[in-house]
Order: sequence, then structure tokens, then C-alpha cells
Amino acid sequence: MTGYNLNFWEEPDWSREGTLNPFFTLFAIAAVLTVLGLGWVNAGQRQLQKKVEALEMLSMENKALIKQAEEASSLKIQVAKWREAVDVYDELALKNYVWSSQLETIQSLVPDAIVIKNLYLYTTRAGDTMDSTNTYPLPAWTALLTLEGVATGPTPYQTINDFFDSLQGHEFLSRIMVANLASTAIAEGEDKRFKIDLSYTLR
Amino acid sequence: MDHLIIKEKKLTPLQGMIGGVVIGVLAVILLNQFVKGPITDKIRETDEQTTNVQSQLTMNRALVQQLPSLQKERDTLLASLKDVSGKLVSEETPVRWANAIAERHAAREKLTVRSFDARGINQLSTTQKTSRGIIVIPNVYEEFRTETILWGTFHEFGRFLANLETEFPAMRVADFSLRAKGIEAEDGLVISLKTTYLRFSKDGFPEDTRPQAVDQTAPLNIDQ
Repeated sequence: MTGYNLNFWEEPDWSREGTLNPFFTLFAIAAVLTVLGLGWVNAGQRQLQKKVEALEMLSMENKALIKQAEEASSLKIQVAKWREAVDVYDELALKNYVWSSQLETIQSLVPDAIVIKNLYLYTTRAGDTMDSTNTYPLPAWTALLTLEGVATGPTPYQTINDFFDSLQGHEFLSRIMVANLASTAIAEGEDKRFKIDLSYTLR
Repeated sequence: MDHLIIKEKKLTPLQGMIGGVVIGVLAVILLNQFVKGPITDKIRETDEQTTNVQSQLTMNRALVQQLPSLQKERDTLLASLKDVSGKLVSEETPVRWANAIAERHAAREKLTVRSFDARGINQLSTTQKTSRGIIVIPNVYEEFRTETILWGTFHEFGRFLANLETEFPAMRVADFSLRAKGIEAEDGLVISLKTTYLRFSKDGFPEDTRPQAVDQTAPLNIDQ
């Protein structure tokens, strides 16, 4: 040692000088943080517990309803199918054309001087195919009603034309059909044969 | 002798605090990694389950609420279907059924049934375009075609047809022809009538989906 050591104070011994031991501070802070961490974990655990309990309650309530819900679900499917069956039937029934009333209407227009010999009805549905498969809803279909007859009396031509006019002028028939009068003058003695085609397009 | 003195390391308060914080944070990190992490995952999992169960529960509650009205509707539809099934061709004995109908109505109007034939089935279906192509959905009904040859008069046939159309509203008259049998009007007419009756389709309305109470195999007392 050649000079003076002017560092009068030695490095302080904090374990002696301080009021708190640094090791104590270290462990205290570490312990506090650890405890806080554990508290945080505990809060999480409690939160989980609560959620699990809530889930269990919901599950139990759901389980109690499942049987009824399944019944309702299958009933819903069943009801939809049955409703379809009833609706489609009603629709097909409603779309059907009542030919008996049509015949009755035509018959009421036939004058005494006309004798209907033959009557034909042919219907064609647009969807009708050779393999007997049809698309649904069924498309419009057409009908051709042919009346073949003989007109008697002194003025058969006039009788035929009057009959034709009455068919065309009929309030109901004129709305649904296109009438076509053909072969009005095939002589057969005094009587005259005729043929009337009534075309319908029905939906 | 200085070099032989082993200096005792002393902690400063700041170092103590920093050390404590470091150790505490490390402990918290470890807790988070090994304890809180799994708990958080479990919470997330439970939340997802709860959401699922909640939506199921909402759906189930709604379904259960609908149950009384569905039961009521089913009862109404059951009555309607019973009514409908009585107007459909028997699936087991369609020819016998349709023939019996023709015979019964003809006898009522004093028409003579000269012949009766079954003419096959018309399938009805709906086609639907999907991303996987066109799919064919069979209809709940199919058409059973028949042809009946009758002898009688215009009025008898008119009443016969009216009765059929009233009893079977969904029956479709496909074709008919009325031709004079002889020269005189009294000779009557030869009547050919082609009709289609409806019946349940096995593909479109399978038997196990039909109401149990609807006995479609014997809907009609053919001895009437």
C-alpha cells in the first residue's frame, strides 16, 4: 500500500445496513407473485367449475327434452309427408276435368234434327311418354272431342251450322275450346253427315 | 494474502427485488404453462360444448313447443288421408279393385261391362337440378291405367261417368269413344273408356311412412 486509500467507506454490507434483508425481499416478492399466480389459477379453476356445472345443468335439461324433441322431429317429417300426400291429391283432383258435365252441356245443345252417331275424346298430356313416366307438376294437357253425326230435316246444312254456332257461342264452351267444323257436305240421301272437332287446352 | 480472500457475494436490495420478480414471474409462467393453460383449454372446450348444448336446447325447446300443434295436425291429416286412401286403387289387388268399381257403377246405371283391362302404371316424378346433377324425386302417387268397354246409352254413360267423377275426384278420363252399335238409336252405344286412378307410390310414399290406421289395401267394400 503506497498511497492513501481515500475510499473511506467500504462497500456497504446491506444485510447489515438495510432494514430488509435482500434475500427476504427476493423470497417475499417471489412468494407474493407465486401466491398471486396460484390465486389466478384458482380463479380459473372456479370459473371452470361454474361452467362445467352450468353445462351439466343444460345437458340435463336437454336430455330431459330429447325424447320429446325426437318425437316432434319425426312427427314433423311425417306430417310434412302426409301433408304432401293430401295436397297433391287435392291438387290432382282440382285439376281434373269433369267430362260428364261437358257431355251434358253438349247434349243440351244438340237439336232434334241432329243425331250424334259417334263421339270420341282423346287427351294428350305433354309429359306423357312411351315409358309411362311423367314429370310432376303435370303439364297442361290437350283434349280433342270429336262429334260425328247426321243432320236431318229440310235444311240440314243450316241445322249443322246452327249447331256449330251454338257450340261456339256457348258461354262456358267458348271459353275453353277452339271449335272446328269439317266435312259438312258429305251427301247421304237427304241427310247430311258432319264432323265437329272441339279442341281444348286444359291446365 | 488478498488473493486468498474469497469475497462473499452480497445482494443489493434492487437485486433482491429483481430476483424476486424474476423468480415470481417464472413461477407464474410455469403455473400458466402447466396448470392454468390446461384449465383455460378446458374452459374453452366447455364453452364450445355449452354453445352446442345451448343451441340444441333452443332447437329442442322449439320442437317440443310445436309438439301439440304437430299432433293436432297429424290427427287432421290422418282423417284426410283415410278419406283419400278410400279413393285410391288398392295396391295388392288393383285390377280386381278397379274392375269392381266399374262393375258396381255400371250395374247402378244399367250399363253392361263387356271387358275390363289394366293398362299399366304411369310413374309421376319431379326432377331437380343439383350440383351433383339431376335427381329424380318420385311422387307420392302413381297412376293406374284401365280400359273398360261398356254397352249402353248416352245418358247411362253420362250418369256412370258423373258417379265415377264424384266418387273419385282424382280419377282422370284419358280417352273415351261412343259409337253407335247399330243403325237404330235403340241399339245403344259401344263405349270405350280409358281412365287412370291414383294409388300410393311405393318409392314416393313408402309403406312405413304411411299412417298405420290407413288400410289402403282394402279401402272399399266391393260388394256394395
